[in-house]
Amino acid sequence: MQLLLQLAINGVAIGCLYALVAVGFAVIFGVTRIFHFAHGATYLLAAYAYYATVSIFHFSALVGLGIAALVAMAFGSACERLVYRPMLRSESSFLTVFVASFGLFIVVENLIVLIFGSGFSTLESALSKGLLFGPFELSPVGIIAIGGSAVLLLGLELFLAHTDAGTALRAMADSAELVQIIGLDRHRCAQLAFAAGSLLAVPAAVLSVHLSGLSPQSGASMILIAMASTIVGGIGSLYGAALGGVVLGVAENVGIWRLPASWGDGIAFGVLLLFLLLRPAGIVSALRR
Amino acid sequence: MIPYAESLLIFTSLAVILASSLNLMLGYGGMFSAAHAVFYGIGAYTASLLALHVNSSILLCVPAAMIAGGVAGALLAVPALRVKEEYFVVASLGFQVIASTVFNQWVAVTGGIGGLTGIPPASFMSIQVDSYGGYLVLALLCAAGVLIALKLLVRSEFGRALRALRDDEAALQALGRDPVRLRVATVVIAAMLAAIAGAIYAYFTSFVNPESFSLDESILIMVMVIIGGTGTLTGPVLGAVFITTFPALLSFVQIPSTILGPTQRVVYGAVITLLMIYEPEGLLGFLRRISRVASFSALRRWQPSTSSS
Amino acid sequence: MSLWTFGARLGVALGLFFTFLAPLRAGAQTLTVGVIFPLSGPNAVYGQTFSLGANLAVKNINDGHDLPNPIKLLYEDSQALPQPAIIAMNKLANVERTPFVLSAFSGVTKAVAPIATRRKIVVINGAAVSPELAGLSPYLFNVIPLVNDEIAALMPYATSKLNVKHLILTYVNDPFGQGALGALTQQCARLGCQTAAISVSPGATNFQAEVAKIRAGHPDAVYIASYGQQQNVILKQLRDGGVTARIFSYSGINLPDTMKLPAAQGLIFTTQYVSFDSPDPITKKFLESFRATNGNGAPSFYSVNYYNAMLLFAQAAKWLSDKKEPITGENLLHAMHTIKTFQAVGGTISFQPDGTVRQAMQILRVVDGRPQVIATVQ
Repeated sequence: MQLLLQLAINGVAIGCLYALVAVGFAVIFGVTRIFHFAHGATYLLAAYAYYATVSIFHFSALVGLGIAALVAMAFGSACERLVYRPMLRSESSFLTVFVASFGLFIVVENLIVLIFGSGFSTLESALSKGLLFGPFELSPVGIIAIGGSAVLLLGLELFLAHTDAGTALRAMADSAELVQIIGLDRHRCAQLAFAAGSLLAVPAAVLSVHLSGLSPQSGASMILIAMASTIVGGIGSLYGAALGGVVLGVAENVGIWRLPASWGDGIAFGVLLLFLLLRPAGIVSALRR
Repeated sequence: MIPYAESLLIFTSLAVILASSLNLMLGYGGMFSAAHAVFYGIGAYTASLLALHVNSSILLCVPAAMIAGGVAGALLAVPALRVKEEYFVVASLGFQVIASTVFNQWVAVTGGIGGLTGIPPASFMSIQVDSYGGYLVLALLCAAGVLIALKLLVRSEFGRALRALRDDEAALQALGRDPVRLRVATVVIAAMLAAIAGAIYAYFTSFVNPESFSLDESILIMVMVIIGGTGTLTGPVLGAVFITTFPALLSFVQIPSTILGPTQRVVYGAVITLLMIYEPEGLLGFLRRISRVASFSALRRWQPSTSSS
Repeated sequence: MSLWTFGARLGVALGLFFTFLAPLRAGAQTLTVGVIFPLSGPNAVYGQTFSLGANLAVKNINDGHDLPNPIKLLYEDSQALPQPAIIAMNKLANVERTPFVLSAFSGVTKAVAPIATRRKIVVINGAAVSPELAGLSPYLFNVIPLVNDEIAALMPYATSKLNVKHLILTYVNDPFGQGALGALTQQCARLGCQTAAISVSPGATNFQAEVAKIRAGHPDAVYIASYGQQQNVILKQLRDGGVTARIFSYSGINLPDTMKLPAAQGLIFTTQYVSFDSPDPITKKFLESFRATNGNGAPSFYSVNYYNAMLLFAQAAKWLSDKKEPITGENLLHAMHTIKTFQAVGGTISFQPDGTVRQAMQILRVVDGRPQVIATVQ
């Protein structure tokens, strides 16, 4: 029982990181209808930018975080401007956009392999040393992950609800035509969505560098989990995407209570399939019933 | 050099089978699947296990692989097709990840990451296929067989119904056909064809492990179809040839083997993206454009009127 | 437009294709030996240590003109994974036609062994230690004692001297890890200590769940059976996660980077015993040339094993060229069976019928970043 609770605690910490990446993906998808697979590349770039700044150039973690944020936003905006915008102008289908995004992901992933090697790297830091709370153990990174993602999601909520830019994004998620009718620039909205979505991946990337180390392969598994979370949560719902991330994080950790840990991915996607079958509209709609 | 070219051609033929069979789902049926490597893998494992423990005859292993592949196809299709179409891709993704986990973890049957080794060469009646040339003939025959089968299928009543389903589901229902049953049949057929490629792969490499049937492979097959051009018979063949031979061409550039793999992937990732931006119709659209140039149609049509009255 | 970019790319690729066909044909005047090592990926650090030994041997053999033709090593990157290794082995067998291949890692060696048998290529493994490698192919020789020998050396010491009663094994779920699991279960059953096992994926980097499970199991000791960077991460996360039990491991953990980790303090592991103070000229020459190129540190036994692997090849090839026989895989195998006992670094090497060697073992403990021998087992 105690082990089960410990696994659930680990699951929530990891799940919060999934939630951040998933919400970023969902913001971009909601506003632009682009299945941004290269969001995984954004995550990787942010993680390696942070790692390089801190570990190779010996700057402080705060500088690393700033550089990671800049790199992520620049990459996200560049994707929109240079890849998706020309494609959407020529009315490309969902599939072609997805494949282009996938090609972009492959390019970034392998450029990182060429620069940093395909092995994995870890950062030595006091933050990953576990703290004991009675019989339970949680590292400071885990605590920051849980607290930080709550704060960030709250910030996103305030941004969407109380700023003009946020209102524009919500309007565009509802109907892109409407946005043009009321005279808002569609491209600027898309730029904003990509910047905001990419920014959300940054804390997840930085924290997972400390929590579990980083490897070029981690980008693909992160974007898959994020896509799955979005669907478990219910496409179109940011709140659902966040909840989906936490559910998948807990499921894959608690699921290995009796199974070997290498079943983790299988369990997470098993949960996804179950949701698709039983509640295709996602958690949020399930909760409303 | 010749064995190298032969093995490249064998892998190309297998890719042609995989891409063409996926195209039946994707291009004709409108079902976007990221799980095709699962059927490829199930075919390979079934054929290997039978060849190792029972008999390595093609007449036993290939049909058995097809049946196993078909069953796996039904396993994906029956539940996944109950949900909305856009979710099919995600359901297939989940199916792929779960299948990969099983391939990796069910060590007693699949050998885990260590795989199954020492698979005996294919045999047909009393002939043993043990040369590269033999496998080349086998792979080319299978690829040709699959292409012919697909051509007949697409032209048949089934194919017409399938295209009608993709373009206008309501009209099809009005005609009294069950769209779900039609889709399930399509997935099962595509999975059975992909399993043939798996069996040949197992014979040829005499080794199978989960690395060959991962999500990466599934996505690669999907990319072949889309790069080539969906919904035609030629498109996926072009895509398969391009994706298998392009990295091989790059491997003759003498760069250290440690950076060779990632460099290849950077280049083909970039090609995929550029092609999708500038030529969304795929290689087929690109070739059509070239052939319009090459047929000098503008030159031929250019007839200045000299005979003035 | 894309037509031109694509055309230009195709032109460049085709140009390169034909340019590089030429050198592939060259090299008939050299003896080629294939090398399938992890050169990239999380285990690339092993590839460097292995190549150090092999390259040094080739340099010494070529400088000494022991053979009529110089040896050339053809490196292929396995990433320590079976599938790239199969592709590399097929390329070496069919395109390069090398009669002799150096292999490492259990999954890789297990995968290439059937091709070695089929295509008659002698394979020498100097690093993989899965017990499954014994008797896998008549063409496979292991110049490293397998992990069952290591565990058989460690466990009696652990149960009697360190009083270990309850052990949890964390193993990578591949042929090596499964071999270690089998060997450890067998030894523990014999010695009466309780065991449990937790498997991890070869590419995994996050072990919080495993650590939670291990902590909940309250073992006296944890045995890590993994490789390179992954075992570093496991070590670190075990200690970060509050596991205070003793940690055991096998020879694969003996990497300089691992030894320096704070989490490695007190780690106990086994390796084969190589006697560097052996007076024979081969050992002396190895040490001299090793120190000339790599400074004064003690050479890794991995470097020794692959140096020895190349010495075996040179002795077998010399035997054949003295008899004016062609150097093919089949002939090399015959030569090796006839020569039986080989002169090598640290003494002589001779193989059991199943292609394995027996060697003395040593048990080491890490103190302040340095492994120190605490026992030697014959």
